[in-house]
This record gives sequence, C-alpha cells and structure tokens, in this order.
Amino acid sequence: MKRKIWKVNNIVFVLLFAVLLVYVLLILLPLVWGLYTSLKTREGFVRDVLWPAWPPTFNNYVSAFSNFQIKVAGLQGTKVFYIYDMFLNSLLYALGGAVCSAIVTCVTAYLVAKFPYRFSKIVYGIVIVALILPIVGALPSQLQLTRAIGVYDNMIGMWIMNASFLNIYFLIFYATFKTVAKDYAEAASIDGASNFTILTRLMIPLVKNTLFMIILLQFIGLWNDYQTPMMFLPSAPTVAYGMYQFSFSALNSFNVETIKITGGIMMLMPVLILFLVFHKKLIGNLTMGGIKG
Amino acid sequence: MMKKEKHTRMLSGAVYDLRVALHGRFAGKRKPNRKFMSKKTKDMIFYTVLIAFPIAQFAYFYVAVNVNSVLLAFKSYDILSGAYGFAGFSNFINIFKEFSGSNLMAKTAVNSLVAYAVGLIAGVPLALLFSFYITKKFPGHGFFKVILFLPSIISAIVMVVLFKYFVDRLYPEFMLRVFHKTVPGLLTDSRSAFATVLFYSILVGFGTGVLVYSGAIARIPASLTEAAKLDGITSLREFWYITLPLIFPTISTFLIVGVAGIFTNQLNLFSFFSSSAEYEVYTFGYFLFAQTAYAGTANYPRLAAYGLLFTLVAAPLTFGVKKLLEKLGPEATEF
Repeated sequence: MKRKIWKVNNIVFVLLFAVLLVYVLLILLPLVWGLYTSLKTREGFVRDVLWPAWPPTFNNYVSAFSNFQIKVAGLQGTKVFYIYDMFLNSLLYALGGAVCSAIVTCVTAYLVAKFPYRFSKIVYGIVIVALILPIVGALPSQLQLTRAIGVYDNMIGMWIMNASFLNIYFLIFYATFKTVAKDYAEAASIDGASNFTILTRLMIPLVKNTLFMIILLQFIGLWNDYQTPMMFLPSAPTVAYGMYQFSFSALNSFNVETIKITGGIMMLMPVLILFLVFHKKLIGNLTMGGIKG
Repeated sequence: MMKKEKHTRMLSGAVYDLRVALHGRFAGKRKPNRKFMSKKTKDMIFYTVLIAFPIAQFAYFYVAVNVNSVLLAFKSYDILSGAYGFAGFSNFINIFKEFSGSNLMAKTAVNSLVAYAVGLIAGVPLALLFSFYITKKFPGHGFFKVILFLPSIISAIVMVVLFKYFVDRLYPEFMLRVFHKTVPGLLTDSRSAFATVLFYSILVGFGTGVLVYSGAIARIPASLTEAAKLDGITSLREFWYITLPLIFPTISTFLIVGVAGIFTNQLNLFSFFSSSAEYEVYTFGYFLFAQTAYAGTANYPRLAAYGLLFTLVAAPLTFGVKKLLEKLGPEATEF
C-alpha cells in the first residue's frame, strides 16, 4: 500500500515537474534570445538568427536610446518626446495612479468595514455587483465623458480616473480591516484620538504591508499599460506607449529587428529589477475568498 | 511699611472671599461641560467627508459612463455638424446586418468562444495543478512561482515583441537547420496565427491565477491533509478530494468573472498586430478596442450599441454561471 502511494506521488511530481520545466523554457527562451540578439549587429542577426554573436556590441542600445522618440502633433506644433520624457511621464502616470487608487480603495474599505451604516452595506454591494457584472464596450462613452470635464489628456485627470475602489483589492483591504479588533480603535478613542488619527496613525500602519504590495502591483500594471495612455493621454506619451509605437514604426532608423528587440529589453529592465528586489513581497500569499450574495 | 503690607494682605483676602462667594452663587447654575459634538455626529461627519470622493468618482466614471454608453447606442453622429442625434434602433439594425451579412462577426464569435473554452479547459486546470505543486513545496517551487508570475509584471508589448520575433524569425530558422524544412513564421502563416496567439495568451496568463489559488490552498488546515495522509491518500487523491472542494469558492469566483472574457479578451492581438490583424484572428475584445482606437468619433454610437448588446448577453450568462456553480459545486467552507 505504502509502495503504491509512493509510486503515485512520484509519478504526479515528475509529470508536474516536467510540465513546469517546459513552461519555464517557453518563458525564458524568448527573453534570453532577445537579450543576446540585442547584443548583435544587424548583419550578425541576418547571418545567424539562432546563436549569440561574438564579440557582443552595445551599438543597438545607443541607437535605440537615441531613436526612441515620439512626435506628438498639437495646437502649438509638433513636440518631440525623448526616452527620458517618456520615462518621466510613465513615472508620473504609474506612481500617481497607483497611489491614488490604492489609497482610495484602502480608505473606502476601512469606512465600509468599520462603520456599520446602511450605506456601507450598499457600497459593499456595489463593489460585488461591479466585479461580477460585465459591462462591455464603454470605452467610447468614457472618452466622451472624460473630454467633457477636462480629465482627458490631463495627468491629474488620469489619477482621478484611476482613483476607483471598484477592484479586487477592495475585498483584500476589507477582509484585513474586518479582522482588526475593535479594541484598538476604542482604546485610542478613549485616549482622545480623533477618527482621522485612528485611521492614519493606527489603521493604515496595520495594513501598510498590504498597502505597499498593492501600490507596487498597481504601479507595475500602470507602468506596463500602453492602451490607456494611448487613448486618454495622447500629449504625454509614456514609455510603454512609446514601445508600442516603436515596435510598429516603419521608419528606417527603427525598422530593424535588432533595434526593436533592444527597445523591448531596455523597457523590460526597470520593472524586472523592481520585481527581483520585491518579488517575495509581491508574490506572498494574496488572499481572496469567494463572492457571496 | 508693616502697615502697608497688612493692608495688602487684607485686600487680597477680601478678593479671595468674593471669588469663593461668587463661585458658590453661580457654580450650581453653570451648564454641564458638554463636548462640542457627540461621537456619533463626529463619526458621521468623518465618514461623509472621506466617502464623498470615492462615491463621486464612482458616480461619474462608472454610473454616468455606463448610462451615457446606453444612450450613445441610440444615437448617430452627424459628420457635418459634429453633433449627436437620436437614431432609434438603427445602430442595432446595422449590427444585425453586419452579423448576418459578413463572415467577420461569425469568425470573431467563434474565436472568442474558442479562446474562452481553451482557457477554461487548459488554463484553469493547469493553473490549479501548478498552484498545488507550489503549495506542497515540491522541489523548485520558489523558482517556478517567480517564473509563473514573471509574465504578469513584464509589459505585454515587450513580451509580445520578443515572442513575435521568436516565432516568426527563430522558429523558421530552427526548422530549416534541424529538420531541413522551409516553414513560414507561426504568426505570418494565417493557418497557425490564431493558435499561436491563443497559446501565447494562455502561456502568459497564469500569474494571478496561480497566486490566488496557491493562497487559497495554503489556507487549508494542515490537520486535514495530515489526517488524510495517515489514512494513506495519494497526492492525486488529495488534490481531487480535499484541495479542489475546499478552494472551490475561489475557483468559482475566477470562473464567474471570466465569463465576461468572451467579450473583452483581446488575446494581446493589438500588441501583436496593432489595428491591422487579419480577420481570421479577431476576437470581440480586439474588435471593440481596435475600432474605438482607430475608427474615429463617428463610430462611437455603433460601438456603444455593440457594447450594449454584448452586455445584454454577458450579464445573464455571468449570473447563470454563478447560479450553476452554486448549485453544482461542492458544499464547502473556504478557510
């Protein structure tokens, strides 16, 4: 009996291990191939697509860095955005959006979890319904309404647009605040702490790890998102949108495979470094229950 | 000098007596020292002030956007005046004509359903098995977890650029050198383009699923699995009879939310082809996004009508799947 169990367990393990190994190869091969292709000359790439070339060259990085630019036509003429402009736009867009979204979600979840008003129940219901109810094709309407109030093509407007509590992280914050005992807040209140002090000095520090992880996840998501800036922020192109333009550009200086691959590797690096530094925090156990009601 | 000092002391004594007398006279009548506001009122003000912005944001960017989207579906755009006017059901009639008159929409519907079905049949079970492997801390679990999550943090456009050249340049070269066969790139060949895009989307889509499933599996009390192991259960039976029923609420959440994917999943087509993908690979999600991005303002009412129609199909379908899973799923309490 024990022998049979041991055999089955080993077969399961070996099969899963093999599938995961194939998976790792499929993910890493294009990245590794892209990395050494970025160190080849154009001629070297044409001569041999498969293997790395020796000696490696960094010319592609120089070319990609100097050619990575976008021209945006506006009322005051055409403006050229270089890679550092796009990095700055990305930083503003991703950091502002992530912080606004995470704080609004955190504060709303705190209010709903800790203030048992009827309205809190309504807000909780709204989140659940919005998460389940699929609304398709609202993008044209969203474009119209953002234009109507000046949020369109405006960085602060983008932060406001992102500052929504209708996301899965609301449920994570909500569950966390629900588990915090009332005694903490009551003790602080007896000592004369205001509601605001309780929120900022007691509750937010209690969830600071979750808050940090969610800001980081949102930041990475927004940093990589090129479709929203493309649709809503045409005058402030981000580096992800720049990469999209770069990858489809037919201009001679860009239209070289090695340069395009190098552009991709260049854009990959900041997020990859961030991920390698914080991966333990990021992929810690994210807990989420089922949808009830 | 002495006399003056005595006089002062008497005066201060009289002032003190007067203060004591006045205190005795009025102290009883003084209003009790009430706080400016009760705690209830303070709580209410705090709550209202802090929730005002999130609710206003929700009212505009969710409620108003969706109401406007419904209204837009019944309008038409006049190019000359640049104004929208009421158009009745003409957008919907045109959509039904598009559906019946061209192969594009039929192909798009088939592709969208195939993408959903493959995700359900291949993606979900694999994500569950991977999560099981990671949570059971089998060899290399930490490394696999990082690699499984890696595509979720790398920009879609970057991954796509690398994958695109990998399958269109390296694959034909590899086939030629190793098997001496001349083959086109997997994306260039229209017969393999959709399968390649679908394969890629499943390949990079494990991150969140694995993260959440492994969190749910980790919360299963160790005592349960230990007891089962003492009774001689295999890993496979543990996965089937203990893990799956106990994390079913999490799985069902993913399945319910995933129904909308039939109409929203772009399959990374925009990153692969921009707006010029071949009709053979279209999905509803790609069609709606590419049209909104490049077809211009005049097309907004038609696209809003598409959105409304899709929502009318997706919403009951989602709630139907929810009810079905509640009825058919195992009765289990998630830990």
